[in-house]
Amino acid sequence: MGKPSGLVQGTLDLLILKTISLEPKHGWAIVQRIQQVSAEVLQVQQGSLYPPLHRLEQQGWIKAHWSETEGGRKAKFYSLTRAGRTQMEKELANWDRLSTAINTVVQTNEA
Amino acid sequence: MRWADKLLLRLRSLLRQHAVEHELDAELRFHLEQQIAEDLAAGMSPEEARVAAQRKIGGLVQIKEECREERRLDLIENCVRDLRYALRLLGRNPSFTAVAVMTLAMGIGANTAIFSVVRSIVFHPLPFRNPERLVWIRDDPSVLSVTFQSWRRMSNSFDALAAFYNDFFTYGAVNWTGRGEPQRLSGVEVSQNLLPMLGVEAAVGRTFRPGEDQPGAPPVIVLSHGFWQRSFGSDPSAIGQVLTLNGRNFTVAGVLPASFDFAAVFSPGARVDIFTPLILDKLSEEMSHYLGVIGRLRPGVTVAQAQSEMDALGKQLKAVDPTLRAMVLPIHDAVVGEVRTPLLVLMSAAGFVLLIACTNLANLLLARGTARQREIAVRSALGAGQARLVLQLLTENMLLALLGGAVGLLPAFWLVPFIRTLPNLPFPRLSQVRIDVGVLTFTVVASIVTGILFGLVPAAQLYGSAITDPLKKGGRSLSAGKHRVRDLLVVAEVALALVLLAGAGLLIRSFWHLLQVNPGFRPEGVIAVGIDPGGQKYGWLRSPDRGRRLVRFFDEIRRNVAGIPGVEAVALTDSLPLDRDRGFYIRPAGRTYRGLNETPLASIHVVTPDYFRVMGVSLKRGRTFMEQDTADSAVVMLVNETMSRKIWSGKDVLGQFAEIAGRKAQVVGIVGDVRHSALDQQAGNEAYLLFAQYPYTFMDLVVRTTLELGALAPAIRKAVWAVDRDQPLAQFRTIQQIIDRTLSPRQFSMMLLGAFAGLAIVLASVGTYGVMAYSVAQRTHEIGIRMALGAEPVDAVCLVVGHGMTLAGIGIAVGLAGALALTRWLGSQLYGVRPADPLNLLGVAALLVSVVALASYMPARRASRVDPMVALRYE
Repeated sequence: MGKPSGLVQGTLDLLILKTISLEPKHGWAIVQRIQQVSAEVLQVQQGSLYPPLHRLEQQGWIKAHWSETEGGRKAKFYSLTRAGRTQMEKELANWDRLSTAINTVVQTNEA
Repeated sequence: MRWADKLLLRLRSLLRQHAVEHELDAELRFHLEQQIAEDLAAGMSPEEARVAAQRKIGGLVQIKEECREERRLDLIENCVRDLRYALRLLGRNPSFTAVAVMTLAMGIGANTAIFSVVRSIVFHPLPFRNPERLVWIRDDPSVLSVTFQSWRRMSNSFDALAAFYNDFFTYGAVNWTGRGEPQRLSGVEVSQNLLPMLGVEAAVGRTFRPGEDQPGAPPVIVLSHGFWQRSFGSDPSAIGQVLTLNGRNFTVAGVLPASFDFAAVFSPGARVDIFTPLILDKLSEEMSHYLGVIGRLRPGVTVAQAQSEMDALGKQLKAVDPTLRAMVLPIHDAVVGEVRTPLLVLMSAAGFVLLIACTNLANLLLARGTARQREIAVRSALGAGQARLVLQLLTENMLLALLGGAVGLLPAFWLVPFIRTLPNLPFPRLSQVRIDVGVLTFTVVASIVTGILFGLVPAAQLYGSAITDPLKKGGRSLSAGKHRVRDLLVVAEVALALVLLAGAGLLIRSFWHLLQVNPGFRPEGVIAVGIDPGGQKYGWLRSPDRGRRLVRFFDEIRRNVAGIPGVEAVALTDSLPLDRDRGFYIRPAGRTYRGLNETPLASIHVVTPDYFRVMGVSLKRGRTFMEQDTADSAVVMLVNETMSRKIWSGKDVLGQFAEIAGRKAQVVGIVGDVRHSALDQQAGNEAYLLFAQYPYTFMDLVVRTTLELGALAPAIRKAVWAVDRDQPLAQFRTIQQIIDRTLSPRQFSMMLLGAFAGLAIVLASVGTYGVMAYSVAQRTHEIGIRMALGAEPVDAVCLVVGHGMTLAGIGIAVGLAGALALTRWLGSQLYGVRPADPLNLLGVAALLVSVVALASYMPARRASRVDPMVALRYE
């Protein structure tokens, strides 16, 4: 039901956190960035990005402020809070452990 | 800091919905426009770009709903929307709404009405200062003046002890003359410190001053608020006026506030017009038990401690008051004690009705919930979360419940004033029963709890089920589990209804038994009116010619009244049956008793010769009084059968002598037993004395007549006033009214419990019919298959009715257990029937079985007539 297909549960949160960790971005930019960086492999239904954004904001991991874009339009920018950064690092570490483990299993099978 | 930020965000989401909603719009619009701009730059036409952007972002409505859900901003907003939706839904199903609202209105209305009664009578604190520290100290029947004075001197448990003299025999009645028609007022004497101790202050003027309760003090009175309104038009200039009461002049000192209704607390069912100071002089000490005693406990002293002190004092006071057995009761218990259990029983009964109503509603909603599964599935597919859906269902239920509560208030608004003004009901504080904010709060809370209760089952059903299932199944099929829930509801309804019916049946049979009781007199065609010339009009208590003057006065009245056309017989009595009674020690000649405890007591009735003819009391042996018996002839006495048996073993009673009420009298006749104290109590020792030989002032004129009370009353008044223009008459009553008055508490309980049981059976039969009809509809398919395979219509009927009977059987078994456990609370309200009376239980069980049988048969018969082919294609 509206969840991005092909994405491991919970990874969208991590992608968002990581994407805005360098500089504040608005929703559209976050989608563009995720698709761009993943070389279009991660296809996100654009709208499905917003509920997680609102959730993360409620959880206090990201905060939002209205600001002007380069084109001079008002947009809602999201940036990481301190708690969000901690959370991201925790999830990144998790992700590393998990992907390493999966890689190991997958490669062992191929050998 | 984080939690503070979060809280701020949540609050903002909740309180600034418009801003938040607006931002969400702006955010998504920005996204779309950004995407469109991008695509335009890539060379698409504006139209293509718009479509592509919308495709990429996905369903906007759904995204927004999800975002809102993440923010949980929707509490109030959703409520409003749900409410509007629920209203529309209810409007679309008017018959469902009507049935549901009426069902709830019955349940909630019954509860509101009875709660308003229970709250005012049982739960409200008494309107005194710190009422929890007040105690009522009782002795049987009431306290001696000397005993009270000794308590005051000797006890340490109380800040103050006060007494009142609300004569249970004459109702403290006094004659008010010198201002228009003579009036009969009812008064109470109170010790000077009673009103200050209760914390009651005068509304106008003042209450009694110290010293005004001493012998020889200038006589003053304080008026009750009601009397002041009635007789003085609430005129403050009443203060200082002089009232002539029983020939003595009293100065009005003050008026008590409307909030202080002495009678409503201390002698329910009576009326108090005036208060005079209680003077504890020598004369008071010669009177028998007559005081009511109220005390305020010293701080830190418990009721139990006060009781043990009174016990100790009782031993010391043996010499002056040998029968003293003081009982210290918290005042609230003393006032409310007798009516608490019957009222709480009624309250529980109303609760049962509400439970049945809830069960019905749960049933209705279950059936409708099944029909609505598709709607809910669609909404869920469109992004409504489960919690959200349950909330919406709850909103609908609340709305229904509150509507039911509002409609239920209507009968309550009618019923409560009706109960408040029931004329004969001696409940304390009955006049204060009303629907107020507290009662309305109760109604709202009851409605909300009801809404949750009956909404629980359908909500649980929704919560438990996989929402998308119905979409796949196309609305077909039902799990057996839901049948079981419905069956359970039928069982519950039958059980609850059975308990109520059993209780009502017991009360109705008790009442019927009481109506069958032979009271020993014939009330038909007899009216009574109190005539009391008062204390000293015909001389002081001991003046030698007082008796003769009293007899002459009443003889003249008797003669005048006997001359009125339509009057068959006239007599006087000092104590009408079921109205009032007083006991005297009786000492049969030739016997000695050790102490007063062993001396037999008899109620005495001072009458004129025709009394037995007027009242229809039968003569068993010997003779009744004759006009030849006079003040100067031998002192004679009649006894009832019980007394002749108890005191003389029924042998050689005629001719026996006994000392009673200060004179030695000879038994000349035996009359039939009269139930004097209550219809449900056997007669005790009753002695009849002749008025000419035992003259008293407080008499009731009794008249056997063919006329109506209203037609005769003016003539009797004229006949009395021909003797003395200043003689007031008390209220005219028929003997039947006196009987009705004693039956009224039972009648009240019976009528209400009967009404609740009636509601219960109506609701239970409607509910059962609903379930059976629904289950038949669900089984039409199955029935069709059975009939296609050769089953007869009668088999189908048996199938359904059998199912209904099984449920009824279980419900009746549970209900019987409940009835056996609960009906014993009816206790003293029962007469001539035991709680476990098999006839009663069998009767109500049979009634319920037939109701369920009918409720199952009707839908079953319809189903059995269905063409199998239609049934197979059904759904």
